[in-house]
Amino acid sequence: MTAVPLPGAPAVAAGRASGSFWHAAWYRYRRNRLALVAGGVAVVIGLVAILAPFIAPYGDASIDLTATLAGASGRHLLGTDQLGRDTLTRAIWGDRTSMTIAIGAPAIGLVIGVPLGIMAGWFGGLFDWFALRLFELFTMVPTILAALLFITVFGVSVWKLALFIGITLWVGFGRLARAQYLSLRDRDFVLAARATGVPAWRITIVHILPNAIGPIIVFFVQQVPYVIFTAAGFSFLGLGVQDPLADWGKMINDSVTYLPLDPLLVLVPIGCIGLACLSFSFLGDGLRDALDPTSR
Amino acid sequence: MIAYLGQRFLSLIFTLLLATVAIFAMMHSVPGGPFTFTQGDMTAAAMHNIQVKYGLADPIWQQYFKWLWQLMHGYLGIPFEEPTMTVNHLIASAWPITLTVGGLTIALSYTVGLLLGCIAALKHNTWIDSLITAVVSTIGVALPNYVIGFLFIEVFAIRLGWLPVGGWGSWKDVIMPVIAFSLYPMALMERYTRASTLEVTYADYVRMGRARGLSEPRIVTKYILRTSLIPLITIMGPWIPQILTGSIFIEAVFGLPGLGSYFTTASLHRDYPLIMALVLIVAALWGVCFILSDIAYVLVDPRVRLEGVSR
Repeated sequence: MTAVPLPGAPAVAAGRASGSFWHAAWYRYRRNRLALVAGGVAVVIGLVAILAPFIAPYGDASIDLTATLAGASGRHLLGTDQLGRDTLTRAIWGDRTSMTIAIGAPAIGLVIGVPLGIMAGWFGGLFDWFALRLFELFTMVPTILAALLFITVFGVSVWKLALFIGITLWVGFGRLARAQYLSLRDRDFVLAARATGVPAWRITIVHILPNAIGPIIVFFVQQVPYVIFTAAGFSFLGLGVQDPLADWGKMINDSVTYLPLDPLLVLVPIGCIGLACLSFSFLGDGLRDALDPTSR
Repeated sequence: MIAYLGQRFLSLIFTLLLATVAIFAMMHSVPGGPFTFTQGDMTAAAMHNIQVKYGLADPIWQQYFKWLWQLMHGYLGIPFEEPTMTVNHLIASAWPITLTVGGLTIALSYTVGLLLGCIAALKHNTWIDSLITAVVSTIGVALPNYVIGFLFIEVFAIRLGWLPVGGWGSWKDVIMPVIAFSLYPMALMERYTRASTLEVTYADYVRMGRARGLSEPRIVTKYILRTSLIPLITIMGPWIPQILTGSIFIEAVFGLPGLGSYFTTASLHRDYPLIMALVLIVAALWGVCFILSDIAYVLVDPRVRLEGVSR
């Protein structure tokens, strides 16, 4: 089924003609050139993270003490750091670290928050009251402090960092899912499903979830730049990922002293953070306009 | 109104108590203690002495109630890291710095963001709109504030020598942290202002006003902005406590002796009294700002009644 929009026809009309929500969403997304480019860049960033062992020119911790702070050359396209580690290689492996945390943390927030939000919105009443108090409680506890406490107590690794940041993100997912279910709970299609005897768990998952998933996806993508910021920030303060793992924030931190010798050492990780954050935030904006057109 | 406020206030106190219980329990339930790392190689007897001195040998519920009792008398305890001071002193010396930076950040980012957002929306679909939106949203979201701060130091302090590298003392020390800290909230403010103003700009009653021949300034101030700025209270209100308690990253980059460094050291050294004080400050500020933004909403928007305010 292909939608053939009339020239100048509004997106919504074309969407209805195609008959499918995702079709219409893709149509709306495609019209936004900035979002399209950002999405492409985000995909490349993701692929580089997955394929890091195959495309990085050197091993992630390979040290070449004969070529420290070597500067850009044919052998090391972006130069080397104070231990002779290839900057391009470090940036590629740093992408893997950042992406693991950037996708992992919101995923953990989603897994905790969405089911709780769904139950709060669906059951209402006393359960909802308790869920709301819980949301309030976790909003009030300073997130950075909580994450730092976890780090000092349990130590850090890439996955732990994703977990600790994820724990601070679940409230947002919970609130969002609750609001969605609260507004969808009394719609006619839910009533119809109930009347025909569909069990409650099936209504919440098969009937309502597809209607609520758009804003949740958008929220997920919007969290990615925030997580990149925070994770790189912890590394920047020396509290995040530890050697020999590469991380953009840590690359900046490690190389600050050597900045006058080779600005690339700091500019490369800064560029990577900037590119990743920009592409994911424009991707998020594009998805919001495409999946959740009424919320603009 | 009074009854409503009282109810909200009571519920705030209740949540605050719950938050302190939760944090207290979490801190004490994890293995290790404040002195296991710094004074690890002590005899068991000496360790026990220290524990007794700081009241850590008591049962945990007793410790909590003791803390609560002292709190009600306005005393926050002795920080383990600097036993010659009290937590009250530490906070009193550090928070004004964070508050200064935070207050200026709010003033700068909210006014500039608001202005830019209004201009962009009123000049919708012109090059001014595209320029403002592109520039502000790019610099606001592309780089984290600590990286921007670091670049500022590199350019304005080291290369050009215009401003001090960091520290706290003269008015010049405030400039770079405030600007670096402002960029993100400014971008948010610009985006939300633009979006909510655009929504109103094409509303029927605005067109009606135009049709009746009202002057453009009157339409903009009385018809458009009066309605469009209301939602910003709920969107940007919750950011205020966050900004006023500072950013550990900004304070670390610029070497500001504010609250931020205590967030790091308190949790690194398991400094229980200091952690509790920080939690309390942030949580109380959050709660108060939520109540205030609800009240502000009722005051400016005649369509909303107190009974209708719920979250």
